[in-house]
Amino acid sequence: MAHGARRRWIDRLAALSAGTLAAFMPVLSAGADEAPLEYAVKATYLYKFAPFVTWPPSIAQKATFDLCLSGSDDVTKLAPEAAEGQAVNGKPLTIRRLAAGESADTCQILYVAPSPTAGLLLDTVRNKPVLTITEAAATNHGIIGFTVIQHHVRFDIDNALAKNAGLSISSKLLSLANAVTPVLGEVR
Amino acid sequence: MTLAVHPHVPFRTMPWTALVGALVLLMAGVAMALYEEQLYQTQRVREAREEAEILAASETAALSFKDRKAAEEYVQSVEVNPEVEAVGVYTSDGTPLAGFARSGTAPLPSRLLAAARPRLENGRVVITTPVVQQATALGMVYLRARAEPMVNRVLREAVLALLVIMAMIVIAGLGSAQVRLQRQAAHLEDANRRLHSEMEERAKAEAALRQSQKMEAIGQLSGAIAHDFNNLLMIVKGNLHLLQRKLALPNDDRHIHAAMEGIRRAAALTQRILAFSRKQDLSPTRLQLSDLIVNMDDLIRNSLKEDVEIVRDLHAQSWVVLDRNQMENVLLNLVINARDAMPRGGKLFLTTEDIDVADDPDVPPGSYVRLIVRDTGVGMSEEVRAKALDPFFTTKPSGQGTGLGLSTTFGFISQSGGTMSIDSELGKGTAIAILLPAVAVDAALERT
Repeated sequence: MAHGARRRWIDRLAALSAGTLAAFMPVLSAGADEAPLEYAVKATYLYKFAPFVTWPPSIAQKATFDLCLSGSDDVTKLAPEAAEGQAVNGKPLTIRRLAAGESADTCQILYVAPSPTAGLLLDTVRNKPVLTITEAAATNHGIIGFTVIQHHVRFDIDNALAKNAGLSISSKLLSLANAVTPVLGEVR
Repeated sequence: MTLAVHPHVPFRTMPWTALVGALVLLMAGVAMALYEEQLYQTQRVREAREEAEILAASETAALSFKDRKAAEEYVQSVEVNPEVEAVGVYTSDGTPLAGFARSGTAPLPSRLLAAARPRLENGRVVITTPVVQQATALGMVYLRARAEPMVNRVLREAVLALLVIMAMIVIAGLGSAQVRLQRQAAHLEDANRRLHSEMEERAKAEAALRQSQKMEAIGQLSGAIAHDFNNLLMIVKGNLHLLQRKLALPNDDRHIHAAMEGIRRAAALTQRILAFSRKQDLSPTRLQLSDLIVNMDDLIRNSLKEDVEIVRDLHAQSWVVLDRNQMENVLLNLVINARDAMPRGGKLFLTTEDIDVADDPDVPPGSYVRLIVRDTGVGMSEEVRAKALDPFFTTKPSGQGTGLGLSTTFGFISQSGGTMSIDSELGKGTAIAILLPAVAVDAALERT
């Protein structure tokens, strides 16, 4: 009975605030609108991973938090707007668009849009404390990979890569992931 | 004796100490209940806050990525607790993501942006706590929990109240028991006092009886001796007269005179002994004691030294029947005793009054005339007072008193139907009271 009541309550609330929620809810409606909403959600997610990731102390002491964007797709287009004025772990968020051939070593988060050369850039920061984000389907994927399941944007986490990069990902985030590649020798 | 009737008023049957004790206990009980309630509320708030904080910590990722399914799962883990009435998880823009409110309870707030202090309303704890991950605010958790089933709380307070009431009853019981004990003790004490006074009265009565029996015995014995002795004296006297005539001796013969004087003194002595034994020949006449005293004024004054002041207070009007000469002797005797008791002077009170005796164990009811001869002299000790009426008992130096003064007075008064009592205190003086039955005027006339 309580369960039914809860459901009714949620439905009522959802109906009430449907208008305001529509733009932010990670629920992707089918059809022509699907693509832009999916990328908007992904763009928002980029900086939202930050609180659940622990960087090595040397990086944590930096005054700013750098979110780097490489390549060009809908996510890199929407990201600056979505992350505008956001703070991460008490630091102002700086968004940098990387030029071709520019080093990504000083970034804390690096989003690499799908492209033929994406794998090369990822390799340069493979064992450096940079949280790399790509599409999960990419051949050479990053620590976090976006995927869409049942119209929901979800993500996979390669915890082994994170470990190599010296990053520690919160179990809260791991529990939310669609799939987790465990650290070698770790039973999950 | 009637017992005091105590109306059943609690404040009278309970001593104030018990009342104060009960009051203090009641106040302590109330204070304890209040304190425990406060403690319980604080604890309940802390518990609810901990629960909310645990939920907030769990919901961070779900909130961050607006994963409603994950958020619901965490909320369900809280729903297991039956005391939690409602839980809401809100995103950073204040909109609800997940939550529930049990049926029959208030709905969740539709928006929640800022955390408020934990508060108690309508017996429910309401907690709002921010969801924070690494200094980044991600949203809010709202939790409402029942404070405690009312039955439990009432039961808890009832146990305390019961204890306090029981303690109060015990105190009240002890208090009233103490009052009862005190009252009983008072009754016992009273009864004991009465018993003691009755015992004293009885001892006095016994002593008086012994005294009168003793006087009676001595009186009979001495009376018989005095009577025979008097007869023997008469034989000696008669034969002495015959011898004087036979030898033709003159009346003023020295030896005859000395012998006759001895006989006279011996006869006087037997007269006094007879007076004590109430066997003397009396010639009673009707008289008024006040008159008698007034007529004896010169005689009394001459028997006293100048340093004794006479205070006369003569109120008696009634008649008595007495041997006037013997009564004059008695009065003189008492005055002389008073004088001897006041070697350094003082006051002599002579009082007469008419009194009616209704209930005196020693005297039958009726009208009496009382004569009191009181001095301010040396007084008597209790031992002396007890023996003062015994014949041949005297406190005067040997040769100065015969020890027959008061005893002949006693004998004469008794024979005249009166009573005599002595009241004395060392250093204060002595009062001799003589009670004589008053007679009606015609009865008095008949006798004369």
